[in-house]
Amino acid sequence: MKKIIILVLFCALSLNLLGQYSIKQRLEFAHHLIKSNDFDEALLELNLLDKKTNSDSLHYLKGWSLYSLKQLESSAQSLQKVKPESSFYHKSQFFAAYNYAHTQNYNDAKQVLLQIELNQKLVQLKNFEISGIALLERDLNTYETSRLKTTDILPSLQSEVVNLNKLHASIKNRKPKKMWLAGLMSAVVPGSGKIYAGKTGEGIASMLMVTSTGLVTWENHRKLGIKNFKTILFGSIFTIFYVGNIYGSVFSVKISNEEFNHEMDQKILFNIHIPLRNIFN
Amino acid sequence: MKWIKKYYLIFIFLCAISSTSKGQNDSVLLKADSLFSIGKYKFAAIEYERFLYFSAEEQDLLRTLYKKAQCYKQLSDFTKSCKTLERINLFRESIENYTNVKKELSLSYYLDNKLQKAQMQITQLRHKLKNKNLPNETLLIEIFILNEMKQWAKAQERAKEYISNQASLKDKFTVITKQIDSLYSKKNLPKLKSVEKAENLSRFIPGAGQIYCGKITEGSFTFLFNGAFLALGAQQILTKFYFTGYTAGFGVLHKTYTGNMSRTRHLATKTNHYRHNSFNESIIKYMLSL
Repeated sequence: MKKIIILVLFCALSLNLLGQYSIKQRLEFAHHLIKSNDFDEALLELNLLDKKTNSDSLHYLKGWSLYSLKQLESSAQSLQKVKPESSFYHKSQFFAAYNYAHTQNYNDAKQVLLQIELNQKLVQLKNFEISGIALLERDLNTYETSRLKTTDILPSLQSEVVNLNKLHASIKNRKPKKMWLAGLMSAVVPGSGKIYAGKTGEGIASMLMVTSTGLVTWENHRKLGIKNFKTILFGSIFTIFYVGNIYGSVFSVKISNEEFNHEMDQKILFNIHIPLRNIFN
Repeated sequence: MKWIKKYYLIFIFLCAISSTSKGQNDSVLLKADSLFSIGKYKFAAIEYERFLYFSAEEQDLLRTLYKKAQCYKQLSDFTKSCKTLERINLFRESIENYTNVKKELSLSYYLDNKLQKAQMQITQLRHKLKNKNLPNETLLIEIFILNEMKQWAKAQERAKEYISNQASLKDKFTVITKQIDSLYSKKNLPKLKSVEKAENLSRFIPGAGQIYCGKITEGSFTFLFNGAFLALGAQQILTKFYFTGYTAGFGVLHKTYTGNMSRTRHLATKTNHYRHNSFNESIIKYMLSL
């Protein structure tokens, strides 16, 4: 009997010394860190668990921490690893697709969405996300075919579907501005190219500037002749302003197109993000 | 006899289970402390949080949160340090613990540049201690906060309170008090410029705002520059070069004139910032040297 007691005592001591938290407990702890907005700490903890387990919770929590830290590419990769058996599966896959879309990796985003095993309720969400990605790619035909047309749209998607349709109309109706045309317009009427590019204030300012220097040059040329120093000086200034204005108009169109596309992209991403937060949070 | 042995075994087994859980938490604290001591503050903060998450005991709560806040302080993450210290429930704590936490909180808020919150912590501590025995470190922080908030008279008063609290400075009390009076004397206080006045001066005489802010060369140059364009405009118009006078003279003058006013505004703000900071630094340097 003495031996048994000593054995039990020994086992108890060993157990005490080896007392470590289980992987489940550590994942719970990582979840607690995420809930407390300590994403960096959660990621450190999850990275320590990386070699010890390959559980879905680990991938989900890691992906979510990275998503919260705006490391979207790594987040998508981690979220994509969550398997269909997990309760986090749908949320992970949809967010992985969104993260890819946000990083302009549209092919991976579509691939993730097409591979999701879905229940009936989420089919609409999937089609909505696919249509959003098509709009991001400016693939208007795919958008037309994939957009939600039924009247029985999920409440959490209704306003975003309307918004996407409006954005689609804006993109479709906007004729891309031509750089050469802006340059030509500014050559004929200084500043008009910038007004054409949508930068009215800049256009009027340029027009006034070029016209003023032009008038000064004309005045000096008329009164002092072409070889006079003042005429040459003001003529040079006028030429710099005139050519600079043409060059600026060409770039204004480029910037204007980029600004429009950027604004549209941000609005599309916002609208495809909102339903994900509403449905899965 | 057989029953007694059985009870022994059950007792040992239950003890082992309970001590395993306690052992786990204790080892986490040990690990956290050792990580802290070797400077791995981020990992130490995680271990302290792990202890807080798993431990049901309340006795180590304050110490753990305090140490976790220290980790973030070491990492210069003062926002998180404040957040951690704010988690401590001070209602049931002793006066000593209350003082230590408030001291730390005021410092963290000060370092996080949240002066109002830092001062609020000190006010609460003063209220709790009934204006007596305020820790010297907290008094120092209060002086720095008051300096930042340009409350010189109150800061001077606190500086004197700080000296009178220091037993080691008793024999030098008169000398140090004189030094503090001289530091906070009207002559030594930062002479802050009125941004509005500087702007208005530049509105009427271009460059005068710069001179008011202490930039005499820049002000003189600006005055000449604006005057030159005004003269050019007038001269061109008088010689019947109307477009040239209007555009090259008055057009450019308009740009330099408005630009000069916004430059004056910027300069006054910058000068005030510089003078205020220099004064604060001299006070900090002196107070820390005591």
